Amino acid sequence: MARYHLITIAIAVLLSPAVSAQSADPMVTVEMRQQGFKDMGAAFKGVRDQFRRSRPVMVMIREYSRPLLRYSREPVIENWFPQGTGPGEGIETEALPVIWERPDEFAARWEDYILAAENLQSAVVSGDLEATRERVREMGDTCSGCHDTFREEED
Amino acid sequence: MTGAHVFQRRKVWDLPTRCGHWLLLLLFCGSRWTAENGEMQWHRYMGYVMAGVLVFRLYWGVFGSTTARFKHFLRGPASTLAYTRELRRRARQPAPAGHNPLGALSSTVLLFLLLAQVCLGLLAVDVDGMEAGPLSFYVSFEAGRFAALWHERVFNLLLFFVAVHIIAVMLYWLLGGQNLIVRMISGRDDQPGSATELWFAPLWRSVLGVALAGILVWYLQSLDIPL
Ligand code: HEM
Ligand code: HEM
Repeated sequence: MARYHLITIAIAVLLSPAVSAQSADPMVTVEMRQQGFKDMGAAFKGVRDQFRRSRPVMVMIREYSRPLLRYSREPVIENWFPQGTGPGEGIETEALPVIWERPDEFAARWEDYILAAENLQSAVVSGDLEATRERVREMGDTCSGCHDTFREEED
Repeated sequence: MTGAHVFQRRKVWDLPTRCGHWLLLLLFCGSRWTAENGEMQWHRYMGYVMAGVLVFRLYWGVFGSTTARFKHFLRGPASTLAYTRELRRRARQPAPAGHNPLGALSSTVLLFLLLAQVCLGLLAVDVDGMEAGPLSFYVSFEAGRFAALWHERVFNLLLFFVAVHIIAVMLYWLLGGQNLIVRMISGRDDQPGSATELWFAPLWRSVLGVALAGILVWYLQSLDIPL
């Protein structure tokens, strides 16, 4: 049984970029990435909340940081931001057109995030709370660093 | 105005009520400004002070001077309606000491909404999971987002009722030539000599309320632990 599951998952993973990139309806992609980002927001809250306690719990930080690490390993730029999924008719998105005008800069911001996620992972593994706190701060900066330029300001 | 009245200058609002009122206005504008400009640490600080002022106002509404007391100004729907029907005539008469039934309603609604706004803010979290009220770690991301959604909706409600509040004050000015703004600053007004006696709480009574408010503000800011 486990084998079949593995195969199914493998096929799904292999197909997913194709499905999202070629989907007829760009809103499918937009909703997928918004769901992904919300997931990251929720995870970030979980991690950050530990530092609101008098004694942050490392295990909780590790658990909450899992999605943050997982997303850093996804081909997010290709899967979430294909051409044609920017703001336009019938597309509700906060992604700004500048993403597709300056793709290198956008990719660089995502690289910042990947690095921050890896650094956070190492700090968590080391069990050093103060180092982890610093890494969480840095990761927050990579979120804002991208949003400042590439995401629409909320009104 | 009828000639039968003899007017005399007399105290209507005590100092704590006036200070509270203008503090609420300042904090309301400040909260709005800091939220719009992403100054979220200051936004939270203002919220804590707002919570303190509100708690003081509740205390003063029970233990304070006559015109500040809920018992004095909260009217039932019947008398509020009756008053509303005669509004055009009433606005030309001297404003009663303290709140008229409509003013009381608008103040109570504003107080209640501000209280709700502060509570929602304490639980709110932004979409990135970064900026959040100090109590939001007790609730899930989804619940915190829900609080933030209502934080936004209640703010819009507040804008509406603040507008109603200001329009009512303006009408008194335009129709009756009575400046209630000056009255809320100086605390004094020309009242008919026949008006009922008002009691003013000695200032020491406010000390307990200020202490209560202070403890609350101190407690809330102590929960606001930076990353
Ligand atoms: C841990 C770090 C991050 C967190 C917590 C985060 C969180 C979020 C959240 C919650 C949204 C809103 C989704 C919605 O509207 O439903 C969002 C949108 C967005 N983010 Fe991030 N993000 C992070 C990192 C990044 C990075 C590094 C980039 C740039 C490479 C980025 C680019 C964007 C864009 C373009 C949008 C708009 C998407 C759309 O509306 O279609 N984010 N993010
Ligand atoms: C203890 C008190 C308060 C706390 C902790 C607090 C916290 C917050 C938080 C975390 C947000 C961000 C929500 C988001 O981005 O989705 C926010 C937004 C906001 N708050 Fe407060 N707040 C408090 C009191 C107030 C008060 C009294 C007002 C009334 C003027 C106010 C007006 C606003 C406005 C206008 C926004 C922007 C809403 C939007 O995103 O459109 N807040 N507040």
